[in-house]
Amino acid sequence: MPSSETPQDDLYREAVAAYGPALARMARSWESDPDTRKDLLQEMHLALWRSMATFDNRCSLRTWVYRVAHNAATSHVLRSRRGKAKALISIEDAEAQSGLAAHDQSHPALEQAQILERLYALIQTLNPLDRQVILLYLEGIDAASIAEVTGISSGYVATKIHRIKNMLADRCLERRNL
Amino acid sequence: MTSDNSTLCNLWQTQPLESFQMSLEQLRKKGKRLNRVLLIRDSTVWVVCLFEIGWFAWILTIAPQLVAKIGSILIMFGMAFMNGQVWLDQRNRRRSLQRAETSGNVNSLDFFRSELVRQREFHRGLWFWSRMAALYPGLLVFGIGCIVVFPSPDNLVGYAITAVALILFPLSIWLNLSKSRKYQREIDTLDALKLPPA
Repeated sequence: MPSSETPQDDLYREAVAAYGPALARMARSWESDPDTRKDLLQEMHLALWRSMATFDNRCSLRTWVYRVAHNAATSHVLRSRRGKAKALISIEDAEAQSGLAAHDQSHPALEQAQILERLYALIQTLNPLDRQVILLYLEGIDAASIAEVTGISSGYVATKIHRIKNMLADRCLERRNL
Repeated sequence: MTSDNSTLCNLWQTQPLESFQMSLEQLRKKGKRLNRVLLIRDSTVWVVCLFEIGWFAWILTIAPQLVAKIGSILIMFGMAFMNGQVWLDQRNRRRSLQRAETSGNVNSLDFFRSELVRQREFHRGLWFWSRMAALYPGLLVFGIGCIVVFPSPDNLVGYAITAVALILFPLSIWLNLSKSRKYQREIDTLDALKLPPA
């Protein structure tokens, strides 16, 4: 290890070792275009590295990483929303539209890749905060921790997770072959 | 359904990912490059401002009528003011983003909310009305001045500038206020999420 490395660098390495794949999944959820996705992922890593200079253990490293990455991604989506005037919806609206997501009857079973594709398409329609909730749920984070990361009351997180489960079952799993 | 969702979570967490690596050296370089880009972006506002001022300063020198000169001066001040406001907004945004983006102490809701509040404020209140007050009198005086001095129906420039000023003013107010209301609705939705569900 080079002698010029600082505690900030060490913390960044620790965070990337533990949450690097989650950041990559998050970037893929926020941005479908591969080139822009790479830029976003770089922005998230840059924000994370910079943030480690002020990490003060007031929250867990996991909470810190998810907040910083999400905030960087939110800036990104707000910038692109200004350009494309893209309307983003809430989990509640997405759930209400679930009947519109007609299942493709020509394929008796969706392959895993198709399920993931459908999942990404769904996530990319959501507003930043609801996107964060569904991503954290998929990462296996419990409701209390999701509330801590997002700042949403735990009651609302529980409600949103309930809706997410229904929506995922309806949109992604009905014709599954896992 | 629960086990289905667990399977989905498992599929999510084990999906193949594109390889991505960024060394510390690359991070440092990207940080410096980003600072340069922001500096250039800030400078662009002033270059545009100088161009606009130069254009109306030229009109000031060639316009023989007092009213057109007054209009040009008012427009120059108005544009300088508006550019200054845009620059200030960009600077404030950059500072708040740098603070919040790099602080894990700011939760996702508060970060998103602060961005919406900043955008709402740009479209209403003191910022918006001072922008209108700085820009439109000059445009109107300049346009009316052209019509008064050259009352011919062929004076399309004068009529066009006056019409733009008269149409743009109420249109800008309507567009900006409806945008600010849209942001306010999003802010209200976020605020409700901080409280337990009713």
